[in-house]
Amino acid sequence: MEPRSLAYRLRQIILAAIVIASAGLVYSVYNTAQIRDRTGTLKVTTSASKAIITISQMNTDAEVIGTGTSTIRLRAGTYSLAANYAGLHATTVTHVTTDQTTRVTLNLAKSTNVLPSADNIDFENIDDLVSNGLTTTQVANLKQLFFTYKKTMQTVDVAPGSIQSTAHNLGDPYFTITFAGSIDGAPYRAAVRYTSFEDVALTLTDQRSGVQLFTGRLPSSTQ
Amino acid sequence: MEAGRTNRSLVTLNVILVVLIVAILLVPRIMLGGLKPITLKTAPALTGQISQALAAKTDRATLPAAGKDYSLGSTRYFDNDIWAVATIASIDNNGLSGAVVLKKAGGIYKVVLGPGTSFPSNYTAGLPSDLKQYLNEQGYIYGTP
Repeated sequence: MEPRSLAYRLRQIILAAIVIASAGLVYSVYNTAQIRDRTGTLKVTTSASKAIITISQMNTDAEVIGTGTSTIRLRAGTYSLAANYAGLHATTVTHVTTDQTTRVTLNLAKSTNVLPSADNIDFENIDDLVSNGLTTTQVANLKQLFFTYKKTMQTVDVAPGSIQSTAHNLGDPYFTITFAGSIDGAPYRAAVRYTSFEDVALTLTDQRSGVQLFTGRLPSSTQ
Repeated sequence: MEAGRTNRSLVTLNVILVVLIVAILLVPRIMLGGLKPITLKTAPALTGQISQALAAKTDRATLPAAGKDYSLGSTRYFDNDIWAVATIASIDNNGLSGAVVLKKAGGIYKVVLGPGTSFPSNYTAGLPSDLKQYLNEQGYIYGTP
């Protein structure tokens, strides 16, 4: 009688455990399906295997999610991704979609000023103007004036051999240098007037039509 | 014989129980592709993006954290909240201080300038005039032409 009763009780306990475990499995599957319906997968790869990858969202902390590559599951939404390594940097905004995999590749490069500035323009041969009478300060001001003319320009080229100093008349406070070149491939003619070591006044004209494109001076307080 | 049958039935029930326990552990992982969802901690506005920008500037393996490596000061918004200027102050003299300029794009802010205590005027040429004026008044711009 005793052994049968013990086996019976044991069987009852295991059956109860099976019922509880079954209920637990159903709940777990249901809960996981809910999570899967609210989240998506984000796969990040970078151009540097040691790059530290970070992620943040509006009104949240940033968090490190991996090195070199990372695959994570996140709530659907908009995220800021960044990767850094050895002075190289990449950043992007990405959108994670429910139940889908979003793939992002971050190509790291040297950080540049994100805002448009004269520093982002490629000036070819402009330093030749230093050999023709301008100071480095004046050339820096000249670059700023080119940028003021067109903030989106990528390349300014000064045609080699085009720089000429016009004859200076006694009593005239201004010296004048002219040169030709191209701005993003479009030809221009430039006239630079200056009186001392800092000021420059730049006038740009379209080389083909002769139409004046821009005139400006730095420092702006110069008469 | 009856004892044998009882034993077999107990073993079967045990196997079923073990299978269920393993299923509870494994099925959710399989459903989520082996990935546990990450939840980012709530924090004051802009701190996440500022921390990411600081990590780029300092090139550290650890992420500078608000309240631990720097504290967030005032935040001002410009142009219908498209632009923002936040000030940060370093904790433990780690050099993380100054102003940070952010621009909203794609629904999230991105650091476009700083952090820094002094910006050359040509770096601010692309900013809205009221924002530039604010930075100038706060002493963050030098070399104004």
